[in-house]
Amino acid sequence: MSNFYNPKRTYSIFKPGQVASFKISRSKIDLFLQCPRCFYMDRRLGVARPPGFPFNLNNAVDTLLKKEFDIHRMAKSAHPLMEEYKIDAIPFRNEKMDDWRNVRKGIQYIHKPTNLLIMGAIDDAWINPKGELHIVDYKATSKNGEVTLDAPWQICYKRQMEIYQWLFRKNDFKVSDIGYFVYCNGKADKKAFDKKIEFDVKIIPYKGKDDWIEQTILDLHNCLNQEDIPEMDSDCDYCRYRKVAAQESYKFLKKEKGEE
Amino acid sequence: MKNKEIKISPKALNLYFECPLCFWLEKNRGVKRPAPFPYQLNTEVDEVLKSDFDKHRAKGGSHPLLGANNIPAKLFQNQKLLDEWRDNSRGLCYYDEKLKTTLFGVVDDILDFGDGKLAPFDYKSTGKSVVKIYDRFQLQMDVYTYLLEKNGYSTPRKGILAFYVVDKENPFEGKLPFRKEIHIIDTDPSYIQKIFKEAIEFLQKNAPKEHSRECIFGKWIKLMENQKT
Repeated sequence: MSNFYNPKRTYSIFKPGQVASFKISRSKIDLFLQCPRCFYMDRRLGVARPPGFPFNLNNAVDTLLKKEFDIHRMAKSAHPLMEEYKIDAIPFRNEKMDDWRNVRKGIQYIHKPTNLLIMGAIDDAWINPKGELHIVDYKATSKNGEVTLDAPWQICYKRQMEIYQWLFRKNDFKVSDIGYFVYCNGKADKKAFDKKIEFDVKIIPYKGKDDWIEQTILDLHNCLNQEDIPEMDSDCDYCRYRKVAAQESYKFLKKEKGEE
Repeated sequence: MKNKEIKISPKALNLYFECPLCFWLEKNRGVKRPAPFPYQLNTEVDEVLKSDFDKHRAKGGSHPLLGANNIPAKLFQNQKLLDEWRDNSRGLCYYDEKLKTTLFGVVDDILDFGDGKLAPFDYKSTGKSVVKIYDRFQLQMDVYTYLLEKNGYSTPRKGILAFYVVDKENPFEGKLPFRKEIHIIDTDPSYIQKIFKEAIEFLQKNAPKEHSRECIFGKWIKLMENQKT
């Protein structure tokens, strides 16, 4: 685990007054909204949260789905799922698609008032006969019952979609408010395994509203420019853990000193 | 110290190796490192595999995977006992009278090599292309071997790992296809008693002052604190 964690980064650190634009990915916007302190420590001071193990199986589903939709992209045809859900669109064909899907590149936009380079990597985009894009994100999970977007933590999925929509609009594409989640649910029924996990694939439309983004970027930029470390979010698991761990250690050190 | 409530798993021993202070905080104070999102797909693969192996178990315990890899064993036939060993709240346990603590492991499956010899059989699923046997897998298999022996079984001193590796060649079409790779590793339970004892005695002492040098949470906490002047 530790071999891919560099606790004190020396790059991708914001310096107030810097002339070059500073890159902010959509996941860092989400981090800012989750906990301004964690965000500030990461992007201003170079101390990121320790990473967990990667979600290999989810990434594999994404990879395979991309291949599947690419077949229809090349053929300029609708995917059967789109027909099933009566979505009048086909996978969008564009020379930049590979860049947009690349986490190191993604779709980018320089936000002039702050000189922040906002970026995000999409899974897919579909185009309808009106020439509007539907942003598409693939999700994979395994749970009993229907997959939905109703759980409180899924706000991060909605924000993700809205940031992509905003980025494409800023890049002068016509973008529909409706984005789609291709949601794959590993089936819990226990038929013979036969070398594969079967999924129910469902398309969940989501009507995005990107009106919060402009203000959030301004807030995030203010946060980066301030000299004091911002307060932690009271729900931040990482800050809470750090606080409690420090308190427990402190109690112990105090006790030991008292005994001396 | 209320040792009766403390149960030690291979994962906990692994944490003890990685960072004694993190282990101490978790076991003595209930302060756990922040949990990641659950790995639902891996859990699902485990569930599906368990039910598949259970079907073969009920039909006498041979399985094509074992045959194809020339493993001279069948699936452990005692489904009831296996279900207990698979249960997170129970597991395969050994209560040490002197330490007054339980060492336990929650197994995926057990293979029967004949003559009463049992070996742990674990499923691992991954979306990476290359299989890696991490140190923690070795520790896990060593602990399970130790537990089987403490429960009165003899073992061939082997652990069997069945890797299910996603085959990323083809489009999705609603399924995640896997190729299978079996690895048999030698197990060594001889050091488990010692580290189990060491870990328990460690918990009865005062907390260490610092996280281990390798502890990424320790490094992170320290850096976070140092920035605060």
